Amino acid sequence: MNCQKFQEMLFEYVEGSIALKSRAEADEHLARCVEKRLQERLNVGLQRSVEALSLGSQARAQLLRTLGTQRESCQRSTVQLFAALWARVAGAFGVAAVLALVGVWIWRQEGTPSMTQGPIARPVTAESSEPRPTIQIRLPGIANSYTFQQNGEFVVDTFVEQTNFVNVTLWNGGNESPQSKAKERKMPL
Amino acid sequence: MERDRFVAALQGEDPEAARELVDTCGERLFRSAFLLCGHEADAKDLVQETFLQATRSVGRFRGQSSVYTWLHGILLNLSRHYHRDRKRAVFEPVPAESEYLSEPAPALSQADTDASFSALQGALKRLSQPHREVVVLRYYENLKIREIARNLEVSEGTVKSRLHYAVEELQRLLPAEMNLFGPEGTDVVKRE
Repeated sequence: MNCQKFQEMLFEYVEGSIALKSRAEADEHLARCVEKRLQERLNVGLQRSVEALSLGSQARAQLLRTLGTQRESCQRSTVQLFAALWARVAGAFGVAAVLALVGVWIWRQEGTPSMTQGPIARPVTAESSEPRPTIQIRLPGIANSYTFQQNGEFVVDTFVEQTNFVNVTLWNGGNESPQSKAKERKMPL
Repeated sequence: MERDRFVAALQGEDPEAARELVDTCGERLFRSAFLLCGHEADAKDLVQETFLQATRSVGRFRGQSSVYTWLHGILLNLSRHYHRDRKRAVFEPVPAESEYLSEPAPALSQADTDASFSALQGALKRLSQPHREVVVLRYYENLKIREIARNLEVSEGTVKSRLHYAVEELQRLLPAEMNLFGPEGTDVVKRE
């Protein structure tokens, strides 16, 4: 139904003599039409209420400047980002590099110790008088024991922690081993 | 405007496209921003910020909507932040309701028409922010209910409800000769 048809049957609609089907169509049209009219009126009203407003040449120029300088500022911000990142990590990188150099130097000087027999506790002496370099170390070993003993009405439990040291002599290969003590273990470097 | 051209404009690679973008969308966004926030200077700032945000997030523009719709989505978000930050419930003093109601229906001079428009602006400013949003989106931007609901991230029912109350409130705030449902209404505009 359109507005013209609705107007044609407006009298019957108001009077109530309109057919049920036509009434439903008229109701639907009326609802749609009111919304449409409202939309048109508000749309026109709002458009006209702001049509005198203008962004102005100054704001337009500023917008264009914003868009024009965007590329430059993007590049600048990327460089600044990297610079800031570098400033943060440069110190750590420097320290790490120095430590790595010291480590390499020590490794080149002394060689890498074998770790097959557990951690090396502490080098005791380095017998420089030997024809081949020899290192003596002590390996600690902890032995725990827990005992129970009936003593009258009581049970006495005892915990004993015993630390044993094993002396180890390391030498630089070859068939001849340096003089060693009874408990010393020998292993090539 | 094509997507590539739009991206080039926002990335500052094509000055001509940038000018076209400002010409086609700048003014329209500014007017919408004015209706949303109610202040000319703030509306200019909002448009400026909209373009700035757009340059930052141009990578996310997939070209599924029009350039203006995408920019307007950014503007809408910014205007919501604007209202949240400034807590401006009422923008400018507008004439009291009784002033409108007691006045007789005026003749349709240019001055009166201008007054009607400013009355509409004033009434819009007196709406709450959610109501003003839906009115601007529905009746100025001509968006569908579904699109408004998607933009505002609310249900369609909420949009309809807000529209209903917003129009009711506008009707209450507007002078009698601007009765939105009456025979006169804003038709005064069309008669010029």
